[in-house]
Amino acid sequence: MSDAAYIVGALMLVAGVVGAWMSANLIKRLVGVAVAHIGAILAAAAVGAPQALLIAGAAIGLATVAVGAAIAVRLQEAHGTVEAGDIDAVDRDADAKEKAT
Amino acid sequence: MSADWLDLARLHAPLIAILAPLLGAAASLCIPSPRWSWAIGVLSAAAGALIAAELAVRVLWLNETPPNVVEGVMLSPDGVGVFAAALISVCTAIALIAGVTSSEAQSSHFAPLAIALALFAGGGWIAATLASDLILVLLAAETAWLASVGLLVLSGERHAALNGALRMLIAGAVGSALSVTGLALIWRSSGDLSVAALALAEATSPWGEAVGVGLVLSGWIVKAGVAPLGFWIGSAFSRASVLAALCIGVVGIVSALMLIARIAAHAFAMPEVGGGLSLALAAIGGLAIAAGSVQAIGARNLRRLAAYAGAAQAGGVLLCVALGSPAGFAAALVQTTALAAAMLALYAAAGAGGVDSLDTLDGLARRAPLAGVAVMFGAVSLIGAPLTIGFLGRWRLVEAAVGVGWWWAVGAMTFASLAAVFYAGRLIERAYFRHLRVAPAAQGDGWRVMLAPALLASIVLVAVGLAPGALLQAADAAASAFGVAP
Repeated sequence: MSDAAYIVGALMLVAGVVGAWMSANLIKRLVGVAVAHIGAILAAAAVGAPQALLIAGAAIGLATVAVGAAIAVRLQEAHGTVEAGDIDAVDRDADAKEKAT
Repeated sequence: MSADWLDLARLHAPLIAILAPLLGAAASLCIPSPRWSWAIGVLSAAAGALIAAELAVRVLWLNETPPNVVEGVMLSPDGVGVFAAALISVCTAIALIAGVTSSEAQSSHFAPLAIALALFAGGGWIAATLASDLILVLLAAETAWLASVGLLVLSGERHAALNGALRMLIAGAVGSALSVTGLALIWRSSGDLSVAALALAEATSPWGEAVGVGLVLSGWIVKAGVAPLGFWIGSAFSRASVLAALCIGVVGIVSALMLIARIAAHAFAMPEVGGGLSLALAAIGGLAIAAGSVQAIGARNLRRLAAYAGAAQAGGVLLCVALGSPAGFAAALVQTTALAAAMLALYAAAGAGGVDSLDTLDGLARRAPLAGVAVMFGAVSLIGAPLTIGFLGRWRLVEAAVGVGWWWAVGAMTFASLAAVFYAGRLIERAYFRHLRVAPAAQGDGWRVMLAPALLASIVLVAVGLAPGALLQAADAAASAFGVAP
């Protein structure tokens, strides 16, 4: 049972890291972060890591996703999108305008 | 009576070095006036820096044993930790002084929060370098990282830095997930998560311990912005204010490098762990030097250029750590100090001179001669020119690398210096030999205050390069207990 949990946790970690790294949508990136953290905590629990580590990992993951969601909301309000490519394009345009003025 | 208090403060110096900025953060939050909030913040950061520096003098120059008092929060200052705490606390104080003209530090709404976050970041990183338990190291470092992200969110205008802040947050989160998994593997292998046990533990599975340490370090390598894992630094720095750039680019990156050095210093004591770790760190270090240098050459924004240059220099620090010998760790400490001083000079001078893009750097030496001097010394140190602290760091690396026959590392550092001639030499050429064509950013009232840290960093860059004895002695003393001699 613990070996299965360990493997599932490791797979979730890898999937989450890839999602957070590769996804073009900011919300999907945050979901990737959450999945990676849950996988890390699951793997830690499977190897019998101390509760302090599990609680610390959960607290860090929760805080990170909460702050990330707040930033994503502000980005949506400012740019009208949560697609990373669109936001980068808006930033590039702003840079070009600043340079022109 | 006062002598008793002084002795008590010395006995608990590690705890006070952490608490001073944290209490200052709480006090700054309670004061609505931006100027008073900034003054309280600077005072508390300076108090913390004084205490940490005094601790470093006692431990590293006077060879006293680090105080190991049970504080209830499990601190265990070792040589590298004491050196790191002093450097980080001094950098935090200087960053706060230099950040006075940042928009968020002058805004009546955001100033107390921005100053509190900067202090919180500094206090968190100091706690991470002094903590005795790897879980506490992780918690303190993540707290500091989140505070740095918050500071970046506040910097700039019209949501300018939000995109970079989210990238930074996600990069750090990926790093922390890897670190949690790494700690679990270390626990599975050795059954102990204290920092000191990394050197002493008889791991049942050395392979698992090695992978665990590697995952923990990879989390901090991401946070140090080391290429190719530092994909967040470009967008984070291009729109960061001076305060955010200093707190992330100097305090944050220097702290992450110091944490890598500290954990690796303990882990290298296990030969089964040390071999693989050395190979991985050397590969990442070499890659970082190449990628960071190329990115810095192509950068058109001064802060972005400085960040990429810092990533390239951080690669050099990883090479030093990868050597795994006391000489290598001492070289890493000297290199990190050089990186901190050069970045402080560049960021603070850019803020004082209203420089953003490289176009606004043109003619800086004529309109702001002292800021021009700071840019010049920062750039010269990045190149590693003789009589600067940058040269000292590279020389120590070359000495340590030749000692173990790592001639390729000497070649990598030579490449780093040659690449720096292009990107850092361009800064000097633009500041001294061109005329201004683009109006620089408007300067606030406090630009003279900002000049002081830039000049102080410039003086350190040259003075330590000319008289390196004290720094070398401290670095050697800090690293002497670690690593495996070749």
